[in-house]
Amino acid sequence: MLKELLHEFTDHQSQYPEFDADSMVVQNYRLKPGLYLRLNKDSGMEEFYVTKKMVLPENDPLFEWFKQADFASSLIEMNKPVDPKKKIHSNNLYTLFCKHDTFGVGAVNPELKEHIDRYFNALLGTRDKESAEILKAAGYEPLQDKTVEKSKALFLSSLKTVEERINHYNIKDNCYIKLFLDKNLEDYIYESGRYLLPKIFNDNKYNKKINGQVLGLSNANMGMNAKKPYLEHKTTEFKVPYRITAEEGVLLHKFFLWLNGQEKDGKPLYTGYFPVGKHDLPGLFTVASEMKVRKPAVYVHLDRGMNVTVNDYDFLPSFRDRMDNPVNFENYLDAPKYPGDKLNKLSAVEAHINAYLYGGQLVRNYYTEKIQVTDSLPQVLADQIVLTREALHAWLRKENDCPMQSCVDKVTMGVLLARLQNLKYISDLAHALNVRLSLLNYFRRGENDMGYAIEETYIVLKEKVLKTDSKEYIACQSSMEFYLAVGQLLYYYFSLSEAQKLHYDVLWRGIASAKSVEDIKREHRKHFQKYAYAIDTDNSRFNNMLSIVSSYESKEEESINLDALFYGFASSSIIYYKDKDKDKKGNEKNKEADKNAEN
Amino acid sequence: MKSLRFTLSGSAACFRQPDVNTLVYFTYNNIHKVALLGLLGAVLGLSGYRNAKLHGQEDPIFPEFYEVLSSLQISVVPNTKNGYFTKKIQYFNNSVGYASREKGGNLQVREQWLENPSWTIFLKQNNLDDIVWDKLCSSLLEGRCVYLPYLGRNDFPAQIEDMHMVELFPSRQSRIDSLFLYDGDLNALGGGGPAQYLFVETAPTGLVPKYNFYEFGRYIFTNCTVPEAVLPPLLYADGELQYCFY
Repeated sequence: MLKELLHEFTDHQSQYPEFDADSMVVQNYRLKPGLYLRLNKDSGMEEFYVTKKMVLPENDPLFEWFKQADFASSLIEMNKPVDPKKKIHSNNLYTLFCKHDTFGVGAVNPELKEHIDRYFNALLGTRDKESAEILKAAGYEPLQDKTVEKSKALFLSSLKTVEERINHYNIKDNCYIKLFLDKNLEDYIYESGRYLLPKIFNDNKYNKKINGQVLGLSNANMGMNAKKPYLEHKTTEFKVPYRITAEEGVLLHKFFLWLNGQEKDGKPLYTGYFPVGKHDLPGLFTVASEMKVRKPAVYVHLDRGMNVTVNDYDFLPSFRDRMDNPVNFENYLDAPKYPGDKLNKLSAVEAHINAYLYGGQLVRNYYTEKIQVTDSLPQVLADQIVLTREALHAWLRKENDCPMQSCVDKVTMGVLLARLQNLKYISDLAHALNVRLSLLNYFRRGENDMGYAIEETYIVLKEKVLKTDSKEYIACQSSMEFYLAVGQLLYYYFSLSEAQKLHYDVLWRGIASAKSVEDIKREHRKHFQKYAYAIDTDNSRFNNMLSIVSSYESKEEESINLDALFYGFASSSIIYYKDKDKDKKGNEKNKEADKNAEN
Repeated sequence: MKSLRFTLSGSAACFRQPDVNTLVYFTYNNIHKVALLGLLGAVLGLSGYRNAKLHGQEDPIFPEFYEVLSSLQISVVPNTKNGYFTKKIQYFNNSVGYASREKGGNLQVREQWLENPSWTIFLKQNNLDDIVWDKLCSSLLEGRCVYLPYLGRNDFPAQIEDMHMVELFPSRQSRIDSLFLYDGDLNALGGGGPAQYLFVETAPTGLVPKYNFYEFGRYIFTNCTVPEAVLPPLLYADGELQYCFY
């Protein structure tokens, strides 16, 4: 994995000469909040106070200088300090970084002198054999006592003035106090190597010298832990997993720093693609919508904690955002506010499914280990997300529709049932059902479009039910018609309820768990009895609908058509249907329907 | 040239990439040469990395399976669209107790697995000892093995099927239908049209003597054409497709 990523990282510079790893890393490097002070040679001082929420200046030479000097002087991680007691956080003799409380709040902390002594002694102190070997190989001469003493004296003599500056800014929080000596940036970069090279490996005890070259355990997304012996490779000769050269280690370090700084529109990026081969964009790490040309790409997802860790990686041999076949999101239910459209971009399809099937809960939970249950995200939906997200993620982020192909029915129905439990509006059900029917149609190319079939049946049903003048007995024609009518009736009962707050769950628990037509009929009868007091026997539309439901007999064992049932429930009610033409004629029946609708 | 061809598959596989271990262990997409030699070593009953240590012997330069089989040449064809296998990250506990000395003794593992991988493998004797080659061929053709061959972890038994001896002929076509090792510029690979695909993976090609670190090479699987000048050596065809051995 790392070799592929590094290859594209270094290759990028040959395609975009301005992309030099060092300057790219520094460019998006962010200074931590704190007071930055440069002690000038003429004993003057230049300063910059960085607060948490400030807008950072652009093209300010002093600020840029601080950025580069700070970048060269910071610790790789807190576990790799120069100061053994971790009070001083800088790494070379030109800098002194510490937290405000270490420096002393109000006045210089009397212990600070002790910390500074220890820090500079550590800089001078003898190194272990491995570190000395690495430094020698890189051509570093040991530091001279005199030079170190000189800079130490400079820092010590400035403490009083620094204290004044802190008081001047009235700094109260425990931010950084960072002191820099006025040196060339080249000196800073050179001295950072003295710190970095011996610390670049995870632990120098794993170093091996082979053909004059030191190979050590990589520190990028790699850790050994004495309490976890199986992080070691027990069955190989080399024990620790991955040894690299110090140069490769430095490059990896820079790569991960660069990755850490990747953001879009001011927000850190978590997901991205590295184009392989020819890089079309100067940015290198891009989001899906920018992958316009079909080409191989590396997919990466980042976990951003203290450090950046890659927690998903895949090589996609042929990827682009635009799909070969668009998904036709059809508004089968004629639901208001549903943006039915042909979408041909994975990112757009993802946004659509996320919004209308998952109620906005899918994308943010792709990688959530333990999904937080909230009012808008009940446990059942959280369970469904965990069950289904892999398949959707593979399709929408990696263009691998294999998993979806085999489980699209189960995925969409499972989520739909879960959504029912705390549905806010009936239109949400209509939207979710639209997505389900559209996806079924997309993944079952060549088969009958179920959504269309239900829609057709609905139109026939509507005609039948509205035909109020004939006295003919209205019978059910098909099972689909039966389920549609049941759905319509259930909605009608639902609308008659005078309860303060109705929960769909109450209505649906029996229906969604029904095993046979008999169960459905029984459930329907229950609701009918409950609301019968409010139903007018002259309501011919209702009577027609009821006649359809009761006249249906299942011929053999059949599976329950929940789609048609939900369609009937969520599409507009035929019983309340308002015909504009007839309205004008003052049709009695319609007036009655209007009255019902108002109720 | 006589070559032994068979299909290697399983319901899941994990050939761990060694480079990271903090959150997830990732897998290579294809079985690499060292892993395949190890699998063939299991078929023949050759010993692995740990044998010398277990029996208090001096560390050999290479483990036995590699010592014996590394002169074998192989060609691998992933049997899937664009050479890409579906992968899923699995999350499980290693609760044997000795895997973690933290309280509770539990080690959490997140590992990426390949789903339903399948490869067509060709073996070429090259400099392999005649006796070993004959034994390998007869074991595979008759479906016998000494140890259980598995795909990266012993939870994933390997399915070896369709074993045949086939006749291959030297060939120099620009389209290669198997994985091949390629170090050059990827942009030099062209053609393939709108259905062009290019799979790249840096994976082990061999072991370093004594330390047994992996040596890495860049494996390619593509429908692009490879320019004449950079065509890899050891190309053979069966009349229909062209395979690269390494």
